[in-house]
Amino acid sequence: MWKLIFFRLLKAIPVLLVIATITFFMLRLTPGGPFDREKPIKDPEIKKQLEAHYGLDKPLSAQYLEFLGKLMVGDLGPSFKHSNRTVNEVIVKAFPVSAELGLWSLLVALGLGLTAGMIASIRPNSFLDYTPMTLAMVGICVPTFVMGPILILVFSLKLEWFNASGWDQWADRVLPALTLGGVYAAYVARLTRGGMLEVMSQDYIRTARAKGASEARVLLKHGLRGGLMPVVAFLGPAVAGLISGSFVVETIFQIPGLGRHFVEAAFNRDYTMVMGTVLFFAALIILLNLLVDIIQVWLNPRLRGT
Amino acid sequence: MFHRFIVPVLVCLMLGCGKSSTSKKSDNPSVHPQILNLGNGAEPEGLDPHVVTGVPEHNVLVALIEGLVGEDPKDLHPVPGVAERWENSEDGLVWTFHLRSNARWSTGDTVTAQDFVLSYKRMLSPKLASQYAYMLHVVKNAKEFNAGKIKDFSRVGFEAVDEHTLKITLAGPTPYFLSLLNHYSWFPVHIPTVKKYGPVDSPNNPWTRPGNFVGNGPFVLDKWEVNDVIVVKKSPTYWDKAKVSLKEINFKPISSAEVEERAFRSGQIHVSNTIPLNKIDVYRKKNPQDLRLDPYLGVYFYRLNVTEPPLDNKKVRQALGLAIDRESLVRNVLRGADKPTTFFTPPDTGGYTYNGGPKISFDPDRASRLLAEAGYPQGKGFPKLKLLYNTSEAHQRIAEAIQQMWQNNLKVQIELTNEEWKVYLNTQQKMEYQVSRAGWIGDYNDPNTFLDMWLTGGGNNYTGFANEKFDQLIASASQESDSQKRFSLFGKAEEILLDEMPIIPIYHYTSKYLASPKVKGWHPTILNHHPYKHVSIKPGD
Amino acid sequence: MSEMNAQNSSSLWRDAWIRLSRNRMAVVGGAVLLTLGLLSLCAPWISPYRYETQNLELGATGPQLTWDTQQLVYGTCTQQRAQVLAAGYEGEIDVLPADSTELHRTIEGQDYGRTLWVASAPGNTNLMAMVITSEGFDPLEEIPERANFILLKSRGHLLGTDELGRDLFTRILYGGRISLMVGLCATAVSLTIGVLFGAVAGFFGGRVDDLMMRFVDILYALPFTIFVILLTVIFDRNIWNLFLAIGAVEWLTMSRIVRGQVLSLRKQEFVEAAIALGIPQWRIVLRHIIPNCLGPVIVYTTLTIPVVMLLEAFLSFLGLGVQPPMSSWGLLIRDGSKVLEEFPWLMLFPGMVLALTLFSLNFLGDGLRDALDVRVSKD
Repeated sequence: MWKLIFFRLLKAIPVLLVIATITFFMLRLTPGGPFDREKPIKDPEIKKQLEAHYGLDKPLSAQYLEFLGKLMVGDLGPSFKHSNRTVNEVIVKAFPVSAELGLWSLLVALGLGLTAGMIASIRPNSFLDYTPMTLAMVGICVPTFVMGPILILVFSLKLEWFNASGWDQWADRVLPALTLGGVYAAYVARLTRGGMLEVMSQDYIRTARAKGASEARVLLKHGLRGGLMPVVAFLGPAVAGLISGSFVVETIFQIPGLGRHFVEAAFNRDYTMVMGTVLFFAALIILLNLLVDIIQVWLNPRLRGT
Repeated sequence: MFHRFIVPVLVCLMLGCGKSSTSKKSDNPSVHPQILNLGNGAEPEGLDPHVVTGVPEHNVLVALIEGLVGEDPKDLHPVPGVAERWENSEDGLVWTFHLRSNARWSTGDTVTAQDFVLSYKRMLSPKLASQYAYMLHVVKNAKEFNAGKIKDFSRVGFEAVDEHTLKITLAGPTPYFLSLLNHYSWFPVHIPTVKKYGPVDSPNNPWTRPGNFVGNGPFVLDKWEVNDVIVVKKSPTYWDKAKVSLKEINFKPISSAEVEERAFRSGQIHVSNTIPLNKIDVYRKKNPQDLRLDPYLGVYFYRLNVTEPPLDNKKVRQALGLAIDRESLVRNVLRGADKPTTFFTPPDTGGYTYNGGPKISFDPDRASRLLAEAGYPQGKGFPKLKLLYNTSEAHQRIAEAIQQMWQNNLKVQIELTNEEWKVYLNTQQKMEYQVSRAGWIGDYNDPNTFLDMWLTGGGNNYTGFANEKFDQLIASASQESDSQKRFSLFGKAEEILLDEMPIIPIYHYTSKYLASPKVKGWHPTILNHHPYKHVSIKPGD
Repeated sequence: MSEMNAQNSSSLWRDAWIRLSRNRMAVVGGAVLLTLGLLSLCAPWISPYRYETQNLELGATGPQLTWDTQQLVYGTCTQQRAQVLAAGYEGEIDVLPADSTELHRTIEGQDYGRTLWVASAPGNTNLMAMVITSEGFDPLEEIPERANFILLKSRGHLLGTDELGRDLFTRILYGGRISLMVGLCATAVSLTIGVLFGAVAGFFGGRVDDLMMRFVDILYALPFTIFVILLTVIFDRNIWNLFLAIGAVEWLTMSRIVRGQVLSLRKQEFVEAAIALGIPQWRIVLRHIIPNCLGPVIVYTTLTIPVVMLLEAFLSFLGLGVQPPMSSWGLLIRDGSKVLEEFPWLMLFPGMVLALTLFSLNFLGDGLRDALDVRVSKD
């Protein structure tokens, strides 16, 4: 197991390198630069000076090598948009916010989703199945940019229980976590139900039942183990997405998280910031997919040795 | 199920919004006496007045730094700032500013004439590559120094006569010179502080961080959290601190108008940066005291690429201009907030209002006649025209409405294309468009900022428009010191512009925002400037 | 052997079809989807309006249940022009009672939404516009004491209109073309790639799996926004690029889910047995592995479709895909979400159509899974 983790982490290095390279050149191919504005720089000399300051005047290959060199020592460079901050600083400041929101949302997603999915799978095609599944589908239909404003209108503006925006108090976590977690909960519920139904018709469950194990034990011990496989596979990238921040939710609730930097950097052509956030996200994805693989092996011992 | 679940929620929302918007929370903990919460649109890119370029940056900077002159809170005319008084020479070329002796930096140092000279030297240094350095080009030799042609700064028209006297020599008579001084590019910085945190001419010098920042304005920088808040607190060293009522200002960078409006409604901000179009009618009806629609120094227009057929034909351009029903567009699409216009420079820009010849008000019959004269009777044979705009809901609505007007009135086919902001800028600059949506906000309160962009080969022209007569008129206006004569030159130039029509003016901007009646001293001004030292919050409410 | 196989498989499919057609919910779901598709295709014959026809003076109006309502179409205009416009909207011009009190009585008790009427004074050919709401009317310009009021009769708007006065019902119909096509095509693309990719990676395992999954990791991490902006620049805007962009991202999670399933199936007895029997590997993947992970695949597919429809709105925002004034369900929902309080119908109706589609898809998907479930047939 430790060997597997070690080698996977080792293999992450070329993967990150490939991602960095593709992103770097994709970015430079995209029209518009960090200094393009509605009122563009009138004097070409000034633009040249500015580009020289940020090293944009060098040939692309030199810029690329310089970028890689700095990356090796973990320096992502200065942000173009936030002119007196480095990308490292911005990420260090914004990631914990997004991660916190992500973890609360994950809690909502798993709490609601697993419960609903399992309840639904006990008696398929009954009232117990239809109710949670209908709710889940409504959850999928109502995207975050609709759910967020509705929650704010009801709970902030009408009932005045929470603030309409901001990230200062504990109460400020509630609505964003419900908004973001709600969508994922719907997915988890659907996938759990599907996975459980799949597993419950398997032979070993029948064996367990035949041996006289209690229904709850069958469901929780044997059913959940196999039934969670699709959920776990889904959760890898989902958790990476959750904790690296959601642009929509962070915008709606005015949360200073990483999700906004991720999207805004692309729109601003903030080259260094795009590289930084992309690589950070990539590392998260790789780590979480590794975690998923480990959990899958743990859930299904037959996978060991592959 | 969807029905049963969502409909009641929506119904309760609709019933609820009326009530809660009238009874605003007054016990909100974030609303404290003399703490002003402002919606500031976007996150400022920086706070170095010699580097930044935007409006959100301006809003914060004027709290932190004071220039030579200040602005009157009602009509923005120049009032004493760091300079107590000033005089202008007979020929209008030499300005002498007498600085007050009690002006202080937040370190306690006196603000001296030398500070200004060094600041301007920094602003103009080629290595800093300041994008607004051209605002200083009215000064003798400033342009040359900025371009690196002159290395010796003493030849540039800035001179510290003594500690409290600053002499500025201009390159030509500039009647609007004093109004330039309110722009942050003319603000002084504390050079020793800048040097302490990095090279003086580096655009990303961290001296602007909280803790490092030194200014001379009514407030000092206290906190700066990206995408969250910038907090400034009343300065103990400001010379006029007795006049400053506010204890603290929180600038909140809320980029979505919908989010900002909800924050305003719940009492989290006192003044918003903007308001969603569809909310204008709601506030008109229910909370008119909160709604502010102030004329603003900007114009919304369409650029036409005059270098390619069919738009190289003047009659086609005029036909397009005449076929837009601006009244209907503004009333119905923009909810009557902006001012429909048939000319370019906003009315009363530095005292100038266009009142010349060709009017391009809505006239569909004349429009289709012109199009027929151009060889496209009833739009026959007219190629499909592409209308470019950057993606935004308002631009899209306007483009859709104008598309319909052109199709109905001229029987021509229009194709809409939206592009992401930077791609759109790129397309426009390379002139790879036919019709392109544009906007222009004046840099200073003078018609020059609206008209000199249409000079042949001008940096912001992008239409291919080139007219010798126009160029001459603008050039003579820049040498004219009598304002009436100057305005008549501008008028003639604008008449040429409107007749040739490389651009179709659509409406003049209005600052649309929400402001709580509790905020006092927040007057409507054409630049949407609100000097904070005159602002206060009505106590006991 | 092969002949027998073919016969065997055809009867398998037929059995599945019979099982599916016996599942009432699945049939209903399929029928609803088919109806939605047909309605979108036949939009020009169903709706009297076109999707781009505006009525600026009307603006956003709530749903009107009467088919024949009275409203006007344009601002200040000549009588002649009003007639032309009336014809354009298949309406007609009526002359109303002369003085305003009578006019008031005429409108009282009827909800015209925000309706614009035109008044003409005797001897004045220029008509003047005024706005009438349920609370009364205020002239936009000075209206003389006695005047002839002319009103236009035109068709009503079943689901209301948007801010430019365009008929929402029509826009939903036309929007369905884009959304259903994107939903089906892009999902089909992501389904095919995802399932095959995941199955191959999971089945062969080891080094192959490792390489393939690292490839997925790379695609996951690339910045989607930049990718789409690049696409808009390199290619012309058209619907196929939309599929390309969506297909390029949506198959990733699918492939990971399938791979996870296959990895565990790979170790099951029947697969081991098939390998031992020397059945070609591709056939094992197609005949034994993929059918056995259909459950999660179908569930995830039905989940993908609404996501894809909403994603399309984001891509259109970046300039790829739908070109205004054409719309799609995703765009209608996104625009509607901004006016939730003022004009709730603009959010509600497109949302309901999307929900209806999703529910139908789900029932159909569940039915399909049950119908194709080999284990069920063993019972």
